[in-house]
Amino acid sequence: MGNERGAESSSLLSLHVVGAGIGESIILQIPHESRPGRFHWGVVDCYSASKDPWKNPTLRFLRSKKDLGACRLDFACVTHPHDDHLFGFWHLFASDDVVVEKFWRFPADDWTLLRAFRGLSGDFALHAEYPRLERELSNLLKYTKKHRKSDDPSRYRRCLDYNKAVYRRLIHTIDSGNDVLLEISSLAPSSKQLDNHADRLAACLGDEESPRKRLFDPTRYDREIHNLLSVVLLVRFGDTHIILGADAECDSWIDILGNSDREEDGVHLSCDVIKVSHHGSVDAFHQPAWEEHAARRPPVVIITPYQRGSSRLPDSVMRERFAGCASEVHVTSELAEIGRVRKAFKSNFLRRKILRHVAGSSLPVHGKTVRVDHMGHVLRVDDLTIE
Amino acid sequence: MPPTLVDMVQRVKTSRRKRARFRYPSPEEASVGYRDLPHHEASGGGSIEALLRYEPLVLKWWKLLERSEVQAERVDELGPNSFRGVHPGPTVLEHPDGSIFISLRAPSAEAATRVLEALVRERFELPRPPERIDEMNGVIREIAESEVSVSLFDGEEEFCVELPRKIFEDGHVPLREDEGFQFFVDRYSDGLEKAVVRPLPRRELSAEDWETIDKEIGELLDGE
Repeated sequence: MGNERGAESSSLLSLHVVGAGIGESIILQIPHESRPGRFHWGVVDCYSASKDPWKNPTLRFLRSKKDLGACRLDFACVTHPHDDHLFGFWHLFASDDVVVEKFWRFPADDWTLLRAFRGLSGDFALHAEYPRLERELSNLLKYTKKHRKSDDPSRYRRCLDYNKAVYRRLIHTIDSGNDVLLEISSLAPSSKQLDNHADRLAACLGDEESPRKRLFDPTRYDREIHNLLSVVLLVRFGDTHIILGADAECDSWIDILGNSDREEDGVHLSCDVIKVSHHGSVDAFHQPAWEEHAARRPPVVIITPYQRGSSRLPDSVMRERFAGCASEVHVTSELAEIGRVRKAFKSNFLRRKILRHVAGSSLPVHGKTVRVDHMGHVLRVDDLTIE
Repeated sequence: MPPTLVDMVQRVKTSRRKRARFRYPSPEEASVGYRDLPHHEASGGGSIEALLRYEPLVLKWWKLLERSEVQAERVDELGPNSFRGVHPGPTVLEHPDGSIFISLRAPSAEAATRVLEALVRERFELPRPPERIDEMNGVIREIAESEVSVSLFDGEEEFCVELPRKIFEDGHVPLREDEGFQFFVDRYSDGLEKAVVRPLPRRELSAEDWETIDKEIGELLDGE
């Protein structure tokens, strides 16, 4: 799994991006400021096709790096409530051997969100996957209760849960003596996006006066609205800038660029590594933002594909566009992890059908590991395989 | 040799205490059709005993079904908790006149009917119904000319497969993206398998349902 310990450099930041056909998990391995050979760890989003925590690829990866301190996470962040970013996230909290110090999450009203998912579960004919989404979110809230009740607000933070537009909200730092070793800020969503999300979710409710008494109308619901909540993170490791785009679409990038406080804050979007937002879809490509990403030098681009039914992201046109803006383009895996045959189906019919989709009965999870130093250099991009 | 009433095909697997209470019906009792076993009341409703009369004609089979439905009402009256402990297998009693009495315990009328159907089919070599396997819910992802890409959910994982367009037409499932459906495979006794899709049962949530949901969410969020 991954690379041998000997290859781990104690001064480099490693970004492990897992994404096999659907869903993504990003694991940050940050060098420890005072203890060589030890690291700070963080997880941004988590996807597991299975509800079994032992099959969760992110957990399997963390356990494999236990001797490097990976089972103690400095932070875990879930960017938005979509199945391909949320399924299996609660496993991090439910596992006895994993400790999460801080939990950051998308800003949304839990009550309305759970009601919406339950409403969609009640009308299976429209949305067959919502029962699990509702269960996953409920589990996440249940297991993070300790964090929610904590007196320390930094332990449970709804990213950008505020009433005014704030650009570059600093949410985490790791200091090394007098210097800041690592700084994580959130760039999105803006308050405008939050309002937009709340309005569009409220449009699925009836006309009762109290929102809590309104019945949910699944036919008015559009699953894409949750992309408005996507938390975009900017990770600064010395001079190295990394942008994790989650599923932010064009509107989010327009809001980020249009923020009047941006120049005052001295924040720019140029970066050395970018995890492309929304799986490289055309809806998430905003040319001015990409011009700024490549202002200093063309970044290394990581794309996590989304291969599900009619959604085949990224398409060939977008790949070419990214290639034009980037020094290197890396795609984590084209192979849909969800298609793996983990259980023996009783019928030969299904076995045949599923085996046609995948080459074997026990496929590993694929991803990429990017190693950067603090001088703005991307040193290496390796294949990552979690057996 | 005088005809004996009892030819027990499968002995009731139950406790010694219950076996001691078990009494086979006399010919007079049996001739009245079906009725409760005498010990049923004595056991305080702790188990369901259905004594059903069956005569070996297909015509009479329907009577049996009707009677199993009568039993169904009683199962409901007793409530789900009334059936506890060991579920003994069915006991088949054959009368020399060709009548058959079946005593069985089952947690529900549906289960009782299934056992009865299986017993009668076995005895009269009626074709077995196909075995329903790999039952899952699914959702249509993409529709092509001859095949439909779908995701199947088995409650634990999601599987992407392509199914022939025809089975959706046969199953009256509207061919549109994001449409949900029930999926299962019928396996016949000769090994033949047939994939079947059905529209998912829609369940509109009422105001009362929403009250329950809101209460559950409130408990989960714990006043947040």
